[in-house]
Amino acid sequence: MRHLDRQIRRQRGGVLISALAFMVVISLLLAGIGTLCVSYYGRARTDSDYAAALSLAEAGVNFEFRKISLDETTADQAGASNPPGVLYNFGGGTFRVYCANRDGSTPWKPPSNLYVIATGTLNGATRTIQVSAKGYAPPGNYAIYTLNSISVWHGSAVVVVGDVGTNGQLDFTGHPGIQGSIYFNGPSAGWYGGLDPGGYTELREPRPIQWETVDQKALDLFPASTYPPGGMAYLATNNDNARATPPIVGNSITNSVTLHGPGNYYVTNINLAGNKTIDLDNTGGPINLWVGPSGGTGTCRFRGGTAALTASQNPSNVCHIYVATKSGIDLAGNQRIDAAIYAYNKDSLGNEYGYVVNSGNPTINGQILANQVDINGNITVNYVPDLIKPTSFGYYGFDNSWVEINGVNQ
Amino acid sequence: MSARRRRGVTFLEVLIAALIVGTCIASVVSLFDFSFRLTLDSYDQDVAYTLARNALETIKETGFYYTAEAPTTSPVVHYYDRNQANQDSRPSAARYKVAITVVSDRIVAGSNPIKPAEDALRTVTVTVTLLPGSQVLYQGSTYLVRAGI
Repeated sequence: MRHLDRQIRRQRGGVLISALAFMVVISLLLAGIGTLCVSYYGRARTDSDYAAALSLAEAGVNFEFRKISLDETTADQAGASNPPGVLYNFGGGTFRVYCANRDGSTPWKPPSNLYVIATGTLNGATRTIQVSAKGYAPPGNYAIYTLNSISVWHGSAVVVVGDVGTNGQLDFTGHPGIQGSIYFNGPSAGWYGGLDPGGYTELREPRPIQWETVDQKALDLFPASTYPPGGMAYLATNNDNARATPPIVGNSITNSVTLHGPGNYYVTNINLAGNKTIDLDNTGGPINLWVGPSGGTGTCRFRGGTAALTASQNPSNVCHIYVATKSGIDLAGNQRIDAAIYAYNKDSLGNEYGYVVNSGNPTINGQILANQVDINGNITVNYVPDLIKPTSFGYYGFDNSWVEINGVNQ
Repeated sequence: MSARRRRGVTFLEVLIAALIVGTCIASVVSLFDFSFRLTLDSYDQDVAYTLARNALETIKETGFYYTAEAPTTSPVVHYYDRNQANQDSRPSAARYKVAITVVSDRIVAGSNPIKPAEDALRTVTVTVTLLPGSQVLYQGSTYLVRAGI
C-alpha cells in the first residue's frame, strides 16, 4: 500500500511537469521563430530604404548637374555646415548635395572639372555617392553662327551643310537650304518677330554660347606681357607680311598673293576683284590672316568671278581669317574660301560688332562666326569641324567615375 | 486517501496539462499564421523594391531623351505576378502593379508627343502597389537630366 502511494505521488507531478516543459520548449521555439520573422521583415524594410536612399543620392547629383548647367554661379557649395552641402526634400526623403574641385578642395571654381557629392537619406538609411563631372561643349556643328544681332537671310539657293546657330535672332526669307539643325541658344534667341518659317529641325539650348573676340584671340597668341603691346596692336607691326609672295606692302592686298604657313599676316585693306586670288599655302603650317585695326572701317572685299582664298595643300593646317573691324568682310564673288571666317569683336565699352555680308555665290569650306551675317546671294557653306571653338560649356554632366563613399545605415 | 480520490487528482492534472498543451498549440498556430503573414509581407517588400529598382534602372538605361513623358494622370503601368513575371496581358492574375510617372519641368514648345527641353529636370516616380487593393509597398523617385547618371 505504501508502495502504491509513492507511485501515485510520482504520477501526480509528472503530467504537469511534462506539460510545463512542453510549454517552455514551445515558448522558446515561438520566441525564436518570432524573432526571425521580425528581423527578416525589418531587413526587407531596411533594404528597401537603402535602395531608395541611393535613388535619392543619384537624384541629388542629377539635380546639381541641371542646376550648374543653367548657371555655374548658383552651384551648391560645401559651405560651413556639417555635414557639408545644401539639403533638399525630395520623394519622401532628403538629399544633401555640393560641388567640389577634383582635388577635393571646396568651394568648386567653375568651369573646372568637378565632383558632385550627394547624400540620400530615407527613414534613417543614408547613402553617399561621389560622381565626377565636367562641362560639355555646346551641341551643334556650326557652319554658321551669329551672336547678338539679327541675321537677315535671303535666297532659296543658299546651301548650308552643317548646323546654323545663334544667340540672337534669325530672319529667313526664301527658305534657305540647311542640311543640319538650327540652334537657338539662350533666352534671347529665336525667330525674328516670332515668325517661324517652318521646315527646319529646331533645337533650343538654355544658355547662349560664348566666343572669344578677335582681340582676345590675338592676345592669346601674342600676350602683351611677352609681345608688347600685344594682340592686334602687336600684329600691326610684327607680322609675316614680308614672307608673302609677293610681299604685302602697306598692309594692303589688291592683287594676287600667296601666303605661306605657318604665318600671321596683318592687313587693313583687302580689295580683290576679277581673277585675283589669295592662295593659302599651308604646306608648312597653319595660316592666320588678321584684318584690322580693331574697330576700324577698312575694306575687306572679295568681288568678281574668282577672287579666292584657297588652301590646296594641307587641310590639317587650318586657316583663319580674323576680322577685327566694324566694317567686316564682304563676299560678293564666286570664290572658294577654304578657311574659317571669324568676325566677332567688342569695343572698349563692351559693344559687340563683326559683320559678314554676302551677295555672290561663294563656296566656303570652313565655318563662319560673326556678330551679324547677311546673306543675299547663293552662298554654299560646307562645315569643317573644329576650326573655331566656343569658350563656354553647353552643359555639365557625368564624366567617368561613380563611387559610393561612407555608406552607412543610421 | 482513497483510491477513487487519488484517481480524481490525476484526472485534474491531465485536464490542466491538456489546457497548457492546448494553449501552446494555439500559440503555435497563431504564430505560424503571424510568421506566414510577416514572411509574405517581407517577400512582397523584397519583390516590390526589386521591381521598382528594375523600373528605375530601365528608365535610366532608356535615357533622358528617349524616356516617354508619363504624367501622373496617365502613368505607365506594368503588372507582375508573385514570381515577378510580367502580366500586362492578364492584370487580373497579377499581384503587383508598378506605376511609373515621368514629368519634365520644361518641355519643347508644341511638341506632341511631349519632348523634354534640353535643360529639363525630369522627375521619375515609381510606385509599387499590392493587388488587389492599393497598399503601397514601395515608392521611389529620382531625377533624369541630360548627361546625368
